[in-house]
Amino acid sequence: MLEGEERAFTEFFDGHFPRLYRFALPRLGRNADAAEEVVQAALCKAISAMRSWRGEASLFTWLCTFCVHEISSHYRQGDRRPLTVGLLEDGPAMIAPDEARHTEVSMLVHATLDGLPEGYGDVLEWKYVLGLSVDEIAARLEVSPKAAESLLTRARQAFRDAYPEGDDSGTKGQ
Amino acid sequence: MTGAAGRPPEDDSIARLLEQAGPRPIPPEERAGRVRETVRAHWRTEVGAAPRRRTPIWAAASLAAAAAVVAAVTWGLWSHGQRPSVAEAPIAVLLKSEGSIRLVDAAQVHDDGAPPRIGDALQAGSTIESGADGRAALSLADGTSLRIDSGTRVRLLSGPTLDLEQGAIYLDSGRGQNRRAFLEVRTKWGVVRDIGTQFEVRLTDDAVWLSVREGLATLARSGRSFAAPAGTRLVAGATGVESRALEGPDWSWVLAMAPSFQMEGRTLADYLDWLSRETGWRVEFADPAIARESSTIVLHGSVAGIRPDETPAAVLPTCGLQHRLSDGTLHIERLDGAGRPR
Repeated sequence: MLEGEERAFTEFFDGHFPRLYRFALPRLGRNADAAEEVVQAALCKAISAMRSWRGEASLFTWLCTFCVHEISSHYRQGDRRPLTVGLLEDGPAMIAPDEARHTEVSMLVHATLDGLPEGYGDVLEWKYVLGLSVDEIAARLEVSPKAAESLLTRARQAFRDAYPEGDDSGTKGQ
Repeated sequence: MTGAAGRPPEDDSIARLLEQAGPRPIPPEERAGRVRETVRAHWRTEVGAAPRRRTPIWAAASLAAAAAVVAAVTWGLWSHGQRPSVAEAPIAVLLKSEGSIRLVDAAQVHDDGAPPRIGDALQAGSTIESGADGRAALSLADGTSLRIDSGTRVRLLSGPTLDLEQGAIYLDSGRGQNRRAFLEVRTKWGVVRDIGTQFEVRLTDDAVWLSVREGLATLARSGRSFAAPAGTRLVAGATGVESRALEGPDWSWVLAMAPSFQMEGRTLADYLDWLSRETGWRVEFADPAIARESSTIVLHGSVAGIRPDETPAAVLPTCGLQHRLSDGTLHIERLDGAGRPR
């Protein structure tokens, strides 16, 4: 991407914009205009600083730091008061108590999927939300069914590891 | 210990959670388009990359040469008039039409009663209607080929999602693609999703027919997903879903509406790949050397206006080759007198 490859930019943008938008939206009181503005600024600043990314954190995690900074700036600039909506990744206890449980769980699941390594969230969504079989996922990814099953196993493990402790869903095993 | 469907209990928990959560919401197309354009401009400034060509913002993501060409045409049309804002980024372009076709664009730029023109761009929310004598072919933003049969009404909801209200459409999402988003066709009888394939979705009075020509598609309804591999037809109606073998499918309307192969400067191998995909023919070479040479033979000229299955007679002789067709296989050999297999 730093060499000006258009395809690399497209992959970068398509792979991260939706996740960052979902990251920003609940933190901005579901203000879509603000989320658009914040994510755009975060991506521009991250691109300017791209050469400093050393890969210690995942690229998405690194981009989130820019997003958090822009969200703070957003609230500072207009003397706006942040809503008392907690950061989902900090755990269920931080979520506003008046949030409906269904919405709460959905947001938490989506945030967890977005935070998984590249591709893991997609295969889990294909398997459990869209109901695709392993063969269908394999065809989608152009890999063997065995490789798709292996990817699913790793994705499930990553989800179990990332989904916040204390939630009553029992994803950590019985 | 296992849970439902033979899964370990902890996997059931993940399944329940994800089912309950539903799909992750996708940012609105217009917002993504605005941000993409701004960020891309910033990126170009940062890396000093000059844009190779001014094209509509979605053209860069397209894998279809035809779509890219038409995108350039479209840009040319716009550049002579008013340039659309990024918020009006198109999600489909009209490649071909015949008979009565009506485009009702979300921005209402095509709803003036004038017949549609090749290169017309459509935005999310647009509707296409074909009359009893009308058919059309479009390219979607991701390069997917969309063909519309007569008597059809279909709405383009967003890049990969269509709402088929009546009639029939054919989709070719290409091969070798690894797209993030599924192509989705919503009907009152269920939702069809592609897995990188060629298929037709046809609404009848009391059912939807999903006919899969190549690859694999699924039909989801009532929380269940039904797979339809190549050569099968799923029929879903009020009484349920059944799978049938696809006997003697009629793809002639699909062939008739195939966008032309953009031949100039492309290789013979490219052409044969396109021909095979459009016709469903297998290609066999009498001489393995022809197969090797096919990727170095560069074609010139045009096959615009010729049905795909009629193009071999126009193209192959210019390469010193001839063909014969039997049982769905196109046999290619050197022209008599132009060199038999060496």
